[in-house]
Amino acid sequence: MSALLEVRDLQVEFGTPNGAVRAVDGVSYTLAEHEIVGLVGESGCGKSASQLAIMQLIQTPPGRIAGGEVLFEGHDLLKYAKNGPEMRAVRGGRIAMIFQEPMTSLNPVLTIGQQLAEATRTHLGLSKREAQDKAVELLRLVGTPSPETRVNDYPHQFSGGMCQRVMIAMGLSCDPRVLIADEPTTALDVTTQAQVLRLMRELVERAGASLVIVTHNLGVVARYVHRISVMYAGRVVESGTTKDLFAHPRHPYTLGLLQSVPRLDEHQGSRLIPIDGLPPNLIDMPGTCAFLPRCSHAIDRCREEPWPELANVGEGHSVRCYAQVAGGSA
Amino acid sequence: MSASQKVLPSGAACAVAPPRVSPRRVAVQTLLHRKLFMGCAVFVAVLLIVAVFAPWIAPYPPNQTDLLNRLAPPSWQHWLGTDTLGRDTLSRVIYGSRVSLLVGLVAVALSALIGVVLGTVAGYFGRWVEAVVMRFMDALMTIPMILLALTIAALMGGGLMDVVVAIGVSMIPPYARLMCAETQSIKRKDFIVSLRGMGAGGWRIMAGHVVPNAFSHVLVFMTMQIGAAILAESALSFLGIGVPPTVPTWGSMVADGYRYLFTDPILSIAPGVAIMATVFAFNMIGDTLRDVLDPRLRGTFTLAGKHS
Repeated sequence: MSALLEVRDLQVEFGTPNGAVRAVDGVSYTLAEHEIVGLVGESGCGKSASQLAIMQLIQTPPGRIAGGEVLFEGHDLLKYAKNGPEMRAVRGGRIAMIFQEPMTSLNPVLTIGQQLAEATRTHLGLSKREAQDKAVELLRLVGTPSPETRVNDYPHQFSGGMCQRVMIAMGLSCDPRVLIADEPTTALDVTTQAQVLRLMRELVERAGASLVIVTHNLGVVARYVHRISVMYAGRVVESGTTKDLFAHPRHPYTLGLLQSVPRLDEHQGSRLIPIDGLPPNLIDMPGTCAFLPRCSHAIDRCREEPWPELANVGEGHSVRCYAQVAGGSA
Repeated sequence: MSASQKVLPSGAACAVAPPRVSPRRVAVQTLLHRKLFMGCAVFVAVLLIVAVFAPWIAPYPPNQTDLLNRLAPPSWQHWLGTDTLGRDTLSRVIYGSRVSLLVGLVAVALSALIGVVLGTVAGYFGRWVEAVVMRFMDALMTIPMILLALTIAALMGGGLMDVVVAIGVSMIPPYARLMCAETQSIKRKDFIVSLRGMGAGGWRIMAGHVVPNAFSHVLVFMTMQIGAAILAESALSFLGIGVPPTVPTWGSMVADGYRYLFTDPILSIAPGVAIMATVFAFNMIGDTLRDVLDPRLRGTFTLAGKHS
């Protein structure tokens, strides 16, 4: 599998009155064709910012892409003019993005059909008639009942789950190579989350696209992604195949995340173990490991030496830690 | 919410949807049930017909003088009497509706078009674009409307189109302000980011998404401004800087008649009532449209909730 999307040393800064905050600090990852990758981390760890940066959708000011490369189909996307025609052709056409708030991510005064048609008319050059037919077909594809009438409805007449399906339909409408889903299930009922994720996996596989799922919920995506990158304080701290990461987490943070998610195969009455403390203030980052203050596995070396680089610890499994939880107790 | 219950459990559970009425239809139904709105709408419609077909409806040509019958009281020949030159007041009120409506509609359309474009662009791009456009608008706003219109009309010489342009230009700032504020709030909404993520450019977002979202506000403001424009035209005519004196307008008629207010009050009252009724009708239409078109109320309207 060759790399379809390669992100190298991506850096995103936000200007604040107290100085620049490096929200994304040297994130690198690759996405192979037909691959589904999960990007996991808690709020504010830079996972959404890194994805917005790939599409050059960071609002400037206050945001700024401070460095790095995003290689896609042989081009560095960050070299394109921010709102130039090349970048606009990539957005929605070659790389599509699904946002986390389905209810507010649709224009309330236009019908679902008009909004679905807009993308296909722009990127595929369909006529009004063709775009309308395509919109109905897309709605049927994502499991909307009676799409012929629903296509003329307004977003407020749809439930959250249905809106999310519309967003997925819109994302897939122009046959993108990469689909980036930013917290696609956060706003949804637990009952709907699995449905939406399954639908997304199915459609992505059928269309031969690749998928990046950004989420804070390890449990939700575990069944659907091939590889997971765990982010903390703007950096990837551990990355590996889903199986490997769940069985043998090496970074104490990953272990902490896994332990804080309820599991059905555990004895009744066993307690969840939360991660103590709060994420570090990004304005005032220590030179050492950012997780150190919350880490219960820290060794002397962690306090003395700077945060290590990602180091390979196995087949496609890398971790950014000196202490490394030995071989899996999750 | 019944919609979520209907849809959530599984994709197939809601194959049979209950009959739904489109919001547009609900809005139209609501409007039809409002008596005041319908009354005003019919009045405006009649006014438009009268203005268009004035030569066929008016009993006399507007400038036909009858010097033997000057300042005649209302009679079967002259329903509203005649003025100092023996011109039929009713005919002049009927012809006057042409100028008043033309000025009202065209000036408002002109100012709305320019104001919406400027405001949207300023609000969307922000920063120096906004600073330049909006400070210019502020400057325009500091000049009283009548004074500005007077200046423009005086500079251009004073004809019907000059009056329209003068009033139109002086009414641009409020539209620009309205749209600028609306755009600033709309452009921060999630769906705008999502649109950009789908590859939409700035102009497409502005024309296709920002303006439609603010349109009900603009539309309502426009109907209210129609009244203001008609009054401004009357004021300009009253001051003598309006259209040429040979063209009958409601404003100039009020001005001509006020000298005879005690002896022949109808000379001023007839066009005055026409101005008042027209302004009232447009304002009421604007008021009702605001209630019905406000997007926050969309879909909450039921026919049971109607009131006149």
